[in-house]
Amino acid sequence: MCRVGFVDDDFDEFGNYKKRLARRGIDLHFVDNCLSLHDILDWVLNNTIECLLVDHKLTAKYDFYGTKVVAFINNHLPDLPCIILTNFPGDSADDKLVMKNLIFDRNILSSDGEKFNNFCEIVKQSTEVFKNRLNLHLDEYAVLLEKKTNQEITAEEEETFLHLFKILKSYGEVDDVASELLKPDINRKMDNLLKKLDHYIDLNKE
Amino acid sequence: MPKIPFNVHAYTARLIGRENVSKLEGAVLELVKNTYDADAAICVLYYEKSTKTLYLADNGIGMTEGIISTHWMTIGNSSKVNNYMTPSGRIQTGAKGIGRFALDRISDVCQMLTINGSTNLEWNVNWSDFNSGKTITEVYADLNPVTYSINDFFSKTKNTSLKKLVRENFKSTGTVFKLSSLRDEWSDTLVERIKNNLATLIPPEIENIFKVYFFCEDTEEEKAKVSMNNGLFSYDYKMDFSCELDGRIITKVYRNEFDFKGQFETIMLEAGFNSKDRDYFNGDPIIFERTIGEMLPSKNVETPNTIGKFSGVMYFSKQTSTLDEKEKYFYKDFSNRKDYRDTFGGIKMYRDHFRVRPYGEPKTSNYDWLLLSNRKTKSPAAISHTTGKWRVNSDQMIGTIYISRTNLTLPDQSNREGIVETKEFADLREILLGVLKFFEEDRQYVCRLLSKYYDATHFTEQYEKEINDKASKEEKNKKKKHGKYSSAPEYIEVSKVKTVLENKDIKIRDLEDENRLLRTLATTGIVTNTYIHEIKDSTHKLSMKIIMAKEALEFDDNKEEAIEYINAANEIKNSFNSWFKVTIESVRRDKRSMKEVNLQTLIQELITSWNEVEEDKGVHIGLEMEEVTFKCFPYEIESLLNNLLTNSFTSFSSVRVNNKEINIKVTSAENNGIIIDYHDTGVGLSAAYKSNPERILEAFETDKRNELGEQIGTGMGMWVIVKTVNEYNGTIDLSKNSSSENGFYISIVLNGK
Repeated sequence: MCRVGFVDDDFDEFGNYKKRLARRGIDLHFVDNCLSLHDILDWVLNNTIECLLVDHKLTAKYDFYGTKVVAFINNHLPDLPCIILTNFPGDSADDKLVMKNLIFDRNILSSDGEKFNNFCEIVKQSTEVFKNRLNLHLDEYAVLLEKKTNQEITAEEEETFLHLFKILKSYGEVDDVASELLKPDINRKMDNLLKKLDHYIDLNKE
Repeated sequence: MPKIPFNVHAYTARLIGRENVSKLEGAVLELVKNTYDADAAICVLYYEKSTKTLYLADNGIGMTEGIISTHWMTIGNSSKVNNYMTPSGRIQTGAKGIGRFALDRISDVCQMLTINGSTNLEWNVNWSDFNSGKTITEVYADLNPVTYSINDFFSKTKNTSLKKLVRENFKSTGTVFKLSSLRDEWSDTLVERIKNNLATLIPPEIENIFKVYFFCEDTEEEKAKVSMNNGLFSYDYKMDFSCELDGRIITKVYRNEFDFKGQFETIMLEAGFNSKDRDYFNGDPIIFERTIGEMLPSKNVETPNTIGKFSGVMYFSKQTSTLDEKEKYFYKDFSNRKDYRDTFGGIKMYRDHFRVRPYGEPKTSNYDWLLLSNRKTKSPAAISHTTGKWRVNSDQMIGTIYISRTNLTLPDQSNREGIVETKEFADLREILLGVLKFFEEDRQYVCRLLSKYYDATHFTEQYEKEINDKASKEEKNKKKKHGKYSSAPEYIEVSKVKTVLENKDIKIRDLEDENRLLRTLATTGIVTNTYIHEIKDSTHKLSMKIIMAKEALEFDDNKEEAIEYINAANEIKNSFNSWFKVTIESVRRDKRSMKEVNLQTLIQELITSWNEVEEDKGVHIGLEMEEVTFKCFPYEIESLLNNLLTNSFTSFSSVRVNNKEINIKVTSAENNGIIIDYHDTGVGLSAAYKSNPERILEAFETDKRNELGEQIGTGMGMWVIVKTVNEYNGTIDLSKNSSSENGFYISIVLNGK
């Protein structure tokens, strides 16, 4: 089952959406306990979401519209497929923050037959794309990790490395190490720490 | 000396043809005319888009080898010159022997199959051979006997309806052309234009003997039928006339313009109509019998008929009239009448049932070939004018004049662009105008009587006219004498002025009522517009419950769960009912009359309905009021509150508001009035309106904007409130908004009526 997140300010129909989509191999999760855009991003990473469905009008719960959520998430996770589901597709398209073909009428969820099945296929196919892209990132991460081990990594590469690590770690593709340990000055910090520890032991000896 | 024959360059022959048939529509028309001349009962045109090929087939008599070589292949020689009657007695319409050049106009390559009963012949020509520099006698077409039938000819075409029609109707003789390498791009518009053109070509009367079909790849038989006889033709007057060989012209004029409804007998008696009029209004024709001499003022009664037999039908069919005229002249309702002026309009002429162009051709200078507009300009009198002659306008007329080849004094021009302007043609025009005069005189007779009757029964209008006439007379006199009265001022009886004033008062009251209703309808529109998101949301939720019920049965065979979903759907349906209560109920008839109303009951019911609609969004509307009786139009009070409430709901949904409260307090005021204090906990007015909140009361002022800052409000809601408050001589106080940070405040005073 692919894992799909759902951002909405109305929980009423979520149970029904979840049930219907589960019958077509989609595991839907409601984005809860989030207030800011950063909260939503963290929630996406913590829940290893492979595709995000977002309602347009979120004002009952959030201070922003769905198109802003998609723009923000894609800024941080460019590969994560985000789809707007709304009663007014025109409004979302007018924002010009999300591509038109990623904006769907919410009624698609209550549609039947081929229309609904096509939508489910789009969602599932987009999660496949996401997974494949993660694999590409894993390759890139391996190259950067080798550079880092050989102390050949540049500052820019270091930033990419950390960003990739954060994503890949979230999706369980790399071991979960504290990202602090991967920062460039970690050796110096460790030396300082050991020095302080030696000093403390010496003092106690005296 | 040897005799040397003249010859002509092949290209010149082609040019002569082109000169005669220059327009595509003309070319198609020419070929269709030929099919009629061939005694066909059916003519089929078929354009196949995928192969860019045009087929034209008829089930006429076909051609023999002799006719093809001596007539069809001899340019300028037509079998129709001497033998213009077909075997079945139909009068043929062409005579110049140039029809085949129409084929050249349409396409480069032409294949023809003709079956005359004894032989099947295939004829092929490539018109580009005419450009080869050869003389006409050196250009050849192929003519071969074949064994296949017309049905076989169509076997590879793609339209099955067409094939069925051909199978059933082309069993023996006939001719079919296959035209490829077409010279024009046959777009849908062009096909439609040609169909319309053909529709005007075929008068309804001959549809029974000669049918034309135009198929495209996917056209069904019924749709392919080219016909203008749809039975829906609406007209005011009809003139049916015929001229016999002895010069007798019989004209029947039908009155179809008036509808006295239940007042028929009264009007017949009181307006002064005679007993014959009674029959004419009921459908009997008014018959005029004249001789040609009587119809042509310059001739004497015994003038012989040199034109020959002709006949026609003309219709008067107006497109517009004012409300006053409708009332005065009892016009039948013609609101459904189609404006055919650009398609079927004009008086058209047919020779042996085929159009003689360009008479009556819309959008051309020949549309008004009887010069009706000139007559109208010379005599512009209104229909009710007591002495002036009313003349019909050219765009109000539609008609068909039938002549035939037997009208030898009305010959075709050789370029097929009309009839030679003979003396007889001028006489024909004169006679047609004479026929029109019968109708014009009758219509003016009826309208004059009705106008007189109207004046007699509508004193007020007469008095009003008298006042206006006297006022303008006085004004004129004053101007003449540089502002000084030279003669005594005009006077009018007070009783007359009183009648006029009373009538005006009634009209104003009617308009005020209409205005009030329009304001309420505007409110319904505003509320619906505001709630469209919620309506769509509820519709979606309803659909979800239904689909879930279906899937509960399909996937899990769980009837209990399905019933649960259906019950939930029912709940949503109830929320729709509450919604309808707050919108549609406002315009109920019983709320549209002024009466003493228990305001507490009225407002409480409205608030309860709104609370039902809004409660799931966390909105609470509180009402504090004592029992107040107030004389008002109930729908105005509801409209006022609905506008305020929708503004608050929009405010609650535009940004996140934790506490969504609305408080309404209604108290009694002096002079049987009331005070409505309204407050919500929304975002309040935007900064632009805070310093001057009264601005929000002006029409089209709104601070409702979407996230892109674009205006989404109508700016009419508060304006509707102002108009309603003005009706009750009330006041509006918005001052509290200037000092408050959040929320919207309004205090409204309505005074008793």
